[in-house]
Parts: sequence; structure tokens; C-alpha cells
Amino acid sequence: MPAPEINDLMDIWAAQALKHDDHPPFADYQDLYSTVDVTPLADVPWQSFTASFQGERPDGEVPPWMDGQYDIWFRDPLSVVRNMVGNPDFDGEFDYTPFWEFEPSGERRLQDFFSGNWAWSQVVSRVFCAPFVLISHFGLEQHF
Amino acid sequence: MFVPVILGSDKTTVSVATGNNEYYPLYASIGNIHNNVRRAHRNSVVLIAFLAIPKSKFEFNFIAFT
Repeated sequence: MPAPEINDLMDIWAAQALKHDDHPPFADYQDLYSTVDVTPLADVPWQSFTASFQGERPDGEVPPWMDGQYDIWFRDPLSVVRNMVGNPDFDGEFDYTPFWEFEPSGERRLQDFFSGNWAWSQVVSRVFCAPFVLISHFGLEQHF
Repeated sequence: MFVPVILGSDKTTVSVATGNNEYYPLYASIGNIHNNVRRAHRNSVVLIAFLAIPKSKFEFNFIAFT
């Protein structure tokens, strides 16, 4: 769509949206172009390499898979993960630190990955935390 | 930031073109994303590799490729 038509479209959209106290997704064609230009998410390209068995071959008949060449296709995992972390779609549905969550009954609530024991134990040192747990526990008892 | 990587594969094989080559798909996700989002897909589980499947016509002890 040519730039002037994008402008026309956004003007019409703005006029319609105004009724609902809303605004169009882009102000004009420049706004649209610059939004497209700064979009960081792109598909991570596929790469491949060939692997073959490097171990010792048995005496006698060698099984065919030991001589075979195998293609392995992959995408750079670091880029894929970086894209996921940077994806604004996950805003508000994304944890940054492990946490413990409790029901009003006091029962531990386990739901997302970061509420579990494994994530907690990766990040939190028991030695470092023990005094704070004691302090907060003591504080709670005083409170009640 | 702490970003735990979750990998998963599937016994379902993927055939490419003629069907002579079969691959195991390998998926990746990260632990930070909430479970309900991961279940709803939305790019939170991404295909990151096709692993080749060496074929054998004999029964072997599983040493090298397991």
C-alpha cells in the first residue's frame, strides 16, 4: 500500500475510533514504517551440519549406521531463547525470579515453573537465606 | 536473569520430502513463561532442531546412540 493511502486509511480509522475514545494503531505511514523497522523479532535461520560415528568399529561386519552420514538441522538456541525472553507477547505472563506462593490456608501453591523447588534451589542459597527465614518467621509470630 | 531452558523431543518422527529421511523434532521453551501460555503455544515452544535417526538392520546393544 502506497504511503499516501496508508495516511488516508489511518485518517479514516482515526475518525471511526474517535467515537469510542480510541485511536488507530499508527498515526501515519512514517509511524508504521518506523514500527516495522524497530521490530527485533525475526525467525532464527536454520543451519545444518553432518555427523558420523567416531567410535571404535567392531571386528568383522561393520553395521551400516556406523558408516552413515547424518544431517542435523538446528537453529541457534541462544538466539531462540533471546527472542523468547524479548517477546513482548509474554508481558505479564513471565516470571523473573523464583518464588514461593501460599494459599490462604498456608498450603504451598505450585503452579508455574518458577514456583517450584527446582527453580528455587538453582538460585537461592540455603546458607544465605536461613537467617532471613528465621527473622521473617519470628516477625510473623509476633504480628499474630 | 535466570532463564532455565526446557527441552523436549517427540517419538513422532518427521519425514522430509521423499520420506527416506526421518528426524526427531527437538523443542525448546523457557521456564519463565507461565504454564498456561506454554500450553496455548503462542511461540513459547519453539522447534529448534531435527535430530537424525541412524537406522540399523540388526539388533545391537545400545551403546553409541542412546
